[in-house]
Amino acid sequence: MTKSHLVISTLLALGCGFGGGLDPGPPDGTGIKGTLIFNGAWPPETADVAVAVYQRRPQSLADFFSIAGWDTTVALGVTRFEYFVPLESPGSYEWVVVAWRPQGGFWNFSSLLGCYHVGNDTLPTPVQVTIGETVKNVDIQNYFDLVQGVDRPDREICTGFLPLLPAGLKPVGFGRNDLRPGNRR
Amino acid sequence: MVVLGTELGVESGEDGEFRLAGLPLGRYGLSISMLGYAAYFEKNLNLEITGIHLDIGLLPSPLELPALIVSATKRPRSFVDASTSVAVLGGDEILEHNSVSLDESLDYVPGVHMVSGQVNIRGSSGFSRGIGSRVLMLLDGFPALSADNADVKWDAIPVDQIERVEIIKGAGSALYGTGALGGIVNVITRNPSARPETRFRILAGVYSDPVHPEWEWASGKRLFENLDVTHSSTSGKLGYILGLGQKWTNGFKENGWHRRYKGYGKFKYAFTPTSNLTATLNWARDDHGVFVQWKDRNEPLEVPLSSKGDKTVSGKLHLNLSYYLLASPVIGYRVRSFLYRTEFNNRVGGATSSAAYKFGQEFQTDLQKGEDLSLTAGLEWIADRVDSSPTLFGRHSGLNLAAYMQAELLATNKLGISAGWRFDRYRTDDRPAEIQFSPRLGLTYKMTPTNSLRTTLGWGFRGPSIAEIYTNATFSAVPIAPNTDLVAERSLSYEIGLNNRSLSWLRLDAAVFWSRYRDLVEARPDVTGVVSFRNVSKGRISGVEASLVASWRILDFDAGYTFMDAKENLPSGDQPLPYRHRHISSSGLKARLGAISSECRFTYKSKIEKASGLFPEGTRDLIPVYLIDLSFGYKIGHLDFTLKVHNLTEYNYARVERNLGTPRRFSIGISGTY
Repeated sequence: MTKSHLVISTLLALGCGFGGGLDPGPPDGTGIKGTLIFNGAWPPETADVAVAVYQRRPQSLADFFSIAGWDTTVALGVTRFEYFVPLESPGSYEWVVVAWRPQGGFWNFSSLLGCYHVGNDTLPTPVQVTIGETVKNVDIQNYFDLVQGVDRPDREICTGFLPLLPAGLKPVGFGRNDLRPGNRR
Repeated sequence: MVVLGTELGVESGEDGEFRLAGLPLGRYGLSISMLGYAAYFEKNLNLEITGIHLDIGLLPSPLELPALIVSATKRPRSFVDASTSVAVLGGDEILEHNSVSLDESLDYVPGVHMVSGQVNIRGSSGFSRGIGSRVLMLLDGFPALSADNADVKWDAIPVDQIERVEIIKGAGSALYGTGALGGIVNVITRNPSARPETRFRILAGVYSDPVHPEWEWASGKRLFENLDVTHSSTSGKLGYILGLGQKWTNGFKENGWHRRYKGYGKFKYAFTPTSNLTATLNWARDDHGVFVQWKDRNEPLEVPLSSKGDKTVSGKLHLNLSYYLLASPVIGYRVRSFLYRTEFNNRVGGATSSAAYKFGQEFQTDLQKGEDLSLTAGLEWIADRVDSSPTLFGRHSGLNLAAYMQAELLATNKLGISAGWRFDRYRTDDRPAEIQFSPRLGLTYKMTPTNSLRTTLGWGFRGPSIAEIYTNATFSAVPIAPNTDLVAERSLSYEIGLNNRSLSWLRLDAAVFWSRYRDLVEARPDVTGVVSFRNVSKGRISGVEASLVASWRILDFDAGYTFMDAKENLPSGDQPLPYRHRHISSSGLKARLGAISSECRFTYKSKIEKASGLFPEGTRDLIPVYLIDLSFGYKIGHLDFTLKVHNLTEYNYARVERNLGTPRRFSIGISGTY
């Protein structure tokens, strides 16, 4: 009994592929991860915050819809959040932004809380991604007062290069380049 | 011994002698069963005079079949006469699995699989974080889906009190109404014992450390323990069970800690030999951390920074009353009243809470017309009341009114016909009332005494839960918006099955099934990423299910396999329904040698082809599941020892996004009856 049982158990064990399953690598696949640091009080009308990654800085209205990847799981009301944006292809990603949406409102790409930039860069800092690699520590400082009209350098760095609104689109919210309705896909 | 078609019965003494007094004169059917013996049926016992003596010999049988089931017809009926696929999980099996929660054992049942705590029968449910179960959960026939989420609270099921679990596969709304879209799980609890009896069960264990050093997240061993004690007896006309229990674990992952206290009482009072009142009180309080998604795949046992400290305190209370009267040999009446209260206080992100009450009554009559026709009819009302945070569901109520009828006819000595219907009218707040008509037709044909064919065509529906209609919150960073336009989802299921017991050492069962769903309610994000529950699609699930049980000398073998083709009909073409496995199999080999037993069990589930779409990595981590469980048992005197290793090879897998499955777990169980 014991022998036959052991033999069958062993066969079953071997048959199912010992040692398989999920493992740590490649870490998270191709993508970007980092920490979002939120400064200031969360506006009570906050409905959503998301991280969006663009391969090129938008030069036209159509470019806003060319999002390479996103993370929509940002927790609300927190002071820090670790995000991860998976990407399909390697390359240089020029615009990594954190967008804010009010309750009852739409995504508004001038309602940005921040973008990835380092040092004395006057434009968003591009992130180089190689295949299979997760670029870590792409940390972003976020300021809620940006969506309340307060002027600070991050506004110019993150949105100063954006094209002006097409004629007929009425600005709403707090930004100058309101592109309502927005779309994050 | 049970009087067929009634709730009357009696346990024999150890010498096999039984006495059932006070039964009115008339014709009855009897079912007699005992562990290790084939069930015996006396279908036409003519009780013409008071006081008859029966001598019944039971044949030893290595392949035990459940004698009776109650869920298929709402009254005790022979298992082999059911026209729909039924699986029965014994309470002893659950204990042998060293299961703390019923869902762990259900995963071994052919045709049933769990997706992160959500029960699927033939792929019915998918995964919606528990909300809006498409499988109706019952506790002794009483509804056990919460009034707010319509979810199964597994920690409210008294595992140590389970006599058996009956699983009805396929739509069952013809008898049970809303929720029975894909099937029914009915937990039948033990009755009070005739003599004083104290039972206990101690379970303790440890989780293995992660195989990958990078996944280490905490120092010290990750442990769990569980203790249950019950006492049961019958004094005069009153039988009772009283139980207490507690559970603790620090969890194998962050926020996996859990502490539970529970109490249980069941009282059965026999007014006369033909009438009794049963009252059940089942209470549990749970305090546990909340793990919704991992930090990342390099740190899968940790929660994101923002989820640290997330926890829930919850309470569940079942209060069930059932009165049964056998008014004459051909008419029985049953009245049921119940209250199921659930509450929780979440500390997940912000603070949210909900207190939900489901209560109702049912009046049922069972009529036996001659030897070949039996009728069951009933009226039922169920009310829901939900009082939750304005930032969650708000305050809402619902009312369900229903009438049902079912007939079973033995047309010939080979052909049995079962037909029924149910009308439901339900309404939530001031939304328009919905009316559902759910018919069912079933046939059984006994080709030979040991071969039978069965076929069933049944309709099912599920009214949307209050959570699905009214949730207005952000859950684990996913914003959810209300949708007051939701309507019920419906199903039509058909199956044809074959049961073969030609060989004394082998039992085979196979079924081909097909289900069509429409107005399926799924949580889907819109273009802005806001999720709401919507009637998104039609779907169909077709497949094959087969199981066999064999016994040869000291060896028992069982195997089950389910193939499912689950498709969603979208305008762009057919797509796989989310969170369904195409292939599921489980097989076990058990050896018994005197007081020693051992078992090896292998489970395989193929890769899930489609997930929710909420997470950008999609199904990347939802790999096929291969699990091996080993267990050893030893019986000495009144004590049973069980040693179990779950996930022997420490296979790392995820059934839903960003959630690692249970790693290798060693457990030892000691149970005893005095």
